[in-house]
Order: sequence, then structure tokens, then C-alpha cells
Amino acid sequence: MNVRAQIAMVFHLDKCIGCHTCSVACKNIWTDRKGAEYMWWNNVETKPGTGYPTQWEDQEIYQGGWQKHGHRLELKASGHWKGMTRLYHNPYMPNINDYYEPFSYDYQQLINAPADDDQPTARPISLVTGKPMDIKGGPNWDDDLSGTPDYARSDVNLRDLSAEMQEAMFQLERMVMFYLPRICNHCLNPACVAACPSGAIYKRAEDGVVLVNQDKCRGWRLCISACPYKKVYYNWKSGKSEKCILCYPRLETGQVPACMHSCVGRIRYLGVLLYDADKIETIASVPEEQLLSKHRDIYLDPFNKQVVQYAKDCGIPDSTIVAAQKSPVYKFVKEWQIALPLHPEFRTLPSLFYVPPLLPIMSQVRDQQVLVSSKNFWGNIDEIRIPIAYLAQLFAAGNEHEIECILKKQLAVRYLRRFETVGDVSKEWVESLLSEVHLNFEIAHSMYHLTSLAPFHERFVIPPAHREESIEMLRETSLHKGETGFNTF
Amino acid sequence: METLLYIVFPYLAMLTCLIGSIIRIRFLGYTISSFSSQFFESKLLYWGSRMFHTGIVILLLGHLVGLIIPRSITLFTNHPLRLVILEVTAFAFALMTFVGVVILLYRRIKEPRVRVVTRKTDFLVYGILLLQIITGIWVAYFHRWGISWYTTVLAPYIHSFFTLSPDISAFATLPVMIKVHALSGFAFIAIIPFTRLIHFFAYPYHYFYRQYLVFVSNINLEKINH
Repeated sequence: MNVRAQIAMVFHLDKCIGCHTCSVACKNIWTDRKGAEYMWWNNVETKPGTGYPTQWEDQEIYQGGWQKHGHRLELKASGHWKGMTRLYHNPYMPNINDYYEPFSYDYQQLINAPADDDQPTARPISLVTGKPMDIKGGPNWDDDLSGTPDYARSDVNLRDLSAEMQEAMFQLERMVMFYLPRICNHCLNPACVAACPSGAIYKRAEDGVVLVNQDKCRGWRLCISACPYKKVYYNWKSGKSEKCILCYPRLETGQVPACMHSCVGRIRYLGVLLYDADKIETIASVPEEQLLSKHRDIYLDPFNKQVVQYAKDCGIPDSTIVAAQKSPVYKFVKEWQIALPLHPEFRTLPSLFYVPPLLPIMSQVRDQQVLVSSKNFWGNIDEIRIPIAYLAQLFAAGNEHEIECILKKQLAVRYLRRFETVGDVSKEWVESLLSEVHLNFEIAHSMYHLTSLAPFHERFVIPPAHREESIEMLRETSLHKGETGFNTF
Repeated sequence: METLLYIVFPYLAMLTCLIGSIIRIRFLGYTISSFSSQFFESKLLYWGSRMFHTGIVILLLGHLVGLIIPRSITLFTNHPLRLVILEVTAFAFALMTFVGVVILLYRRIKEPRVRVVTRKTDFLVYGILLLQIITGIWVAYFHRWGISWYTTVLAPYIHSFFTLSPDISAFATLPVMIKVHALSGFAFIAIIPFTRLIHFFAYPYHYFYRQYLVFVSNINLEKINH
């Protein structure tokens, strides 16, 4: 057993209000540079929608992620041989139009314009060419546009839904949408790392953060098409790839990543998971229907004495093991099993998990009546506004049972609180709901606590980085100059 | 004058390339990149880049093979049919390279966004490349059977550099276009460390035998817990 630590995250989608504060926090710190203006290491999408870059989920266009080739796992459009034929031109790389052309405005015009009869205007100016331009898109151009043909209806995840289901989703009075904040998944089986011909992208062994060594990157661009989440970006100015660094300079000093720290809805959780690195390839190659359960299996129980011993033997610091025991992510992913990775079928084993949104199931209107409690409520779960099939496409590789289970768990917790605060449902009924999804009062209470009440230090459990032992600290500073930052060229 | 052009200049060019490249790769890793502009324009690049790179790689390898094993090539091309086939193939690749570089240049000038990421040194690269390809095609057409005489006249000239006993007697008598082609070739070598051409020293050959996942530790794990 080869135990490693991974900093993992949970985003609770029911709590996301789509305010983009995370995106702006990230942008201000990391991508406010020439060549990086178009990058949003953190972005928030409206689902159903086409996302950023447009249609990123459609691997028929971008050919990202892994696929099974017989029993072997291969990168879809790169890898040892295929990738090398695409160095001159990579047919699957998104270009600027798939993202958007970054722009500013000619604000000086507002001040410097000569006196005239008309109000001066600030024209949009391209941040690439510096010339006036017409704005055709932006990083969140599908924001709140559920139902629209160009965005929501072009969502790839609707492909397998019947026409009636789609129509039902987009009826004006039943219109449905939710927000999907995305950052780099810091995968256990990262396709970008595997596709990089220069060996510039690597996973930090001590905490699993995936980074691009800016000194080693040679701009072959295979990582950009290989990442199925399109979370590696090409800096057109420096000719290098860049990606979310999980704010590692903050993590190393015990601070929370900027996107998570600034999250208004408090939807984000961060903590350590221990996993068995020997199993990565086996688990990434299991049949699609087993992907979710096997992915959970790769994470080890930090309370198990044997695991702790193995972890110590593998050089995991005691402080990290303690952090793993306190990890909120472990609770969501392993104990309660209510958080799922985005698009597990890409087979990269993401370390970012989402609690699927329950959406307005509580206020379902039927025959002029609001259905709040009903004895056969479970009978109606497939009639919730957003089709379970759609959520299953996003978070479970089409496994609807998995989504149903999670929604039932969330609902059971809500009824428990309904029982405790309003009291119009009976205790026995709540108990039956809980036991149906293998929960009890105690677990449900801790779920409620971590979801709704948990303070900062419970939502974010960062293991000490042991900077005193970092190799970087023991070398001459001039040797690693420019390794970790982003130089200006 | 001849000594300066045919001996000092090539030596300087090769030395510049060697020392410059070592310095750039060792200390200025951040500045090395393919500087791809595919992000801004992809369709023309598909034809331009693929044609140009395929052509130039094969032509460069051809020149290199002629230098390394001149005698075998001379013997191999003894048979006229083999010589004709090789010449025609090489000529076809030369034309392909030419078309490729023209497409690339057109793209650089025509696309406003690509122009933004064009450096001044890029035009130097394009200039020398064009000169090189045009003189190359000229030589191939007007001074035919180059594969044969290259191995007997030019290869010894280049070899003489490496044995530190430069011999220009044969080279000095060659037609002017061949000289221009050879000298601009040395200019091409000289500018490698100062331009984007450095990217061909970055060819990631080690990727073929590397395992897919890369883990790097920034912490000396053995020291923890002790």
C-alpha cells in the first residue's frame, strides 16, 4: 500500500447562489496579467448551459480525458505516440473564440472627450489587440439563461434525455437551473500530467496539488486538450500553460484558497483525504458503472490503525493524519456519501466533489396545493423539477440510483429539522425516512451541522505544510527563482 | 575575405549556437517555448505548420545523414534510379516546406491577433528560413544531383571544421547559390539561441519512455516524524 495525502474539496451546490465572488477573488490574485486575462481558474456556470469554454463537456469536440482501450487506460487524443503527432498542430485545442476575447473599456474617453452635444461613451477595447472590438461573449455568458436555445438547450448533458423531459425542464413556469462553480479538480489520475510531453506538469507528492512548472513548460499545448474539464489554460503572452494552483502559497501558510475563503454561500469545504496511490490505474480503469463506488474505495479510513501505520511508513506527517481525521471532505465523500465528482466518466478521479442540488423539490405545486409532506413523497422523487437523469449525467456517469440516494438523504435531513423546528411531521415518519437511506438521528444531525452551521475552522482543515522541511527552503534561492511564480517575460 | 566568410563565420556561428543554447536552456528555461499562436488562429496553422514542420524535419535529417555517412550515401546513390527517386522526393519536400512557410508568413501578417504575439526576432527567423528554402530549391533545380555531390564536396568541408583543420579549397569553387545556401545555413544555426528556434532543442523525446503520472515532492518525507 502506497499511502498519499490529497487535499480535496467539496462544493455544496444547494448553497451556491451564483454570485461569482469566488471567480473575482481568484482573478484578482492570479490571472490579472497580460496573456491571462481570458483565464478564469475559478468560474461559475449555470446548468443547464454550455459553460466555459463553450461546450467543454463535449469530448467529441475536445477529446479530453481517458478512455479504455481494451483493458488498458489511454489518453483519448494524446499519449506517448498519438500526442507526439500533434505537436505541430493540435486539432482538439480550444481557441480564443471558444473562451472569449478579453476586453476592457476606453475609460479615458469619458474624461478626455472634447465638449460636445452627446455624452461620450467608453468603447470596449480588446485586451489582445488593443483595438476597439465588439463584445461577442464572456466567461459567464450563459449566466441565468436556462431555457434559451443557444445556451441551456445546447447543454451536452441533455443528449440522452427524451424530448419531453427536455421540454418539461424548460417550461416557463417550471424553469429550472442551478450553479456549478468549477476549479481545477487536482485529480488523482490527471490527464494533463500524463499528456505533458515536457514533464512540466506534476502532482505534489505531499498534498496532491497539480502544478505546471513554468520553467519546464515548452508550450506543446497537449495538456489543454487532454484536461477534460478545460482547466489548463494557454498564456498566449508567455507561451506557457497555466492552471489553478489551489492557492498553494496560501495553503502552505495555513490560509484557505481565495475562492473558498471568499465564498458568500459558504458552499466550500476543504480537507485532506488519504488514498492508496498503487490503486490509481486499476480504479481508473473499472467499468463505467463501478467508477463511483470504486473511486470512493481508493480513499482510506484515517481512523483505521493499520492505515495510520501504513501512512506513517509512507512518510505522511502525523499532523496530516490528524487533519485527515478531521477532514470535512471525508465526511461528505466517504461517511455520508453525498458528494460526487463531476463527470466521473472522464476517468481522471477528481478530488473535487459536489453535493448535487436538491432544487425546489420542497415547493412542488400540484392542483393548487403546495406539497410539503406526503406519505408517499418518495414516489414523487422522479418528478422533481430537474430530471434525475440530468444530474446523473453530470455527477454519476448516468447512474440515477446514486443521485436518488443522495437526494433522499438530503431530504431526510430536512424533514428531521422540520420535525424539530416546526413539528408538523411525526418522529416515526422521520425515522423511517432516515432508516431508508441508512441514516440515524446522530449522523443526520452532524450532516445538518456541517452543512448549515459549521464555522470556518470546521469547513477548512488544512494540514501544516512543514515548510521547514521543504527542499525548496534548503536550496539557494537563486536556483528556484521563477519556479513557483509567474515571471513576466 | 574568403577565410572570414568560409572559416571564421561558420566557427563563430556554431560556437554561438553551442554556448548560447547552453546558457539559455540552463539558466533561462522560462523563456523557452514553442510560442504557439494556435490559440488565436487554427485553420491556416493546420496546413502551414504541418507542411512546414514535416518538410523541414525531413530535409534537415537528410542533410544530417549526408554529413554523418557520406560514403554510404555516395555508394547508395551510385545507381541512377535511386538517385533520381531521392532527388525528386527531397525536391517535393522542399516545395512543401516552401508552401508551408509562405502560409505561415501570410497568417502572421494577415491575422491581427497573431501579429500581436509576433516578436521582432520572428521576422529574422522567417527571413533566414525563406532565403534558405529559396536558395535550396534553386540549388536543387539548377545544380542537380546534389545528393551525390553534397556527400563528396560539402560533407568534407563541414567535417574539416570538426577536425579543426578547415579546408575550403573545394568549397570556394562552388557556384554562388550553393555558397549562399551554406552560409545562410550557418546564420540559421547562429540565431538559434536568440530566437524561438531554440524550441527544437526542447523536443520532448524523453516523453516516449516516461510513465504517465509525475509526482514531485517538495518535502523531505524521511525527515518528518523523526
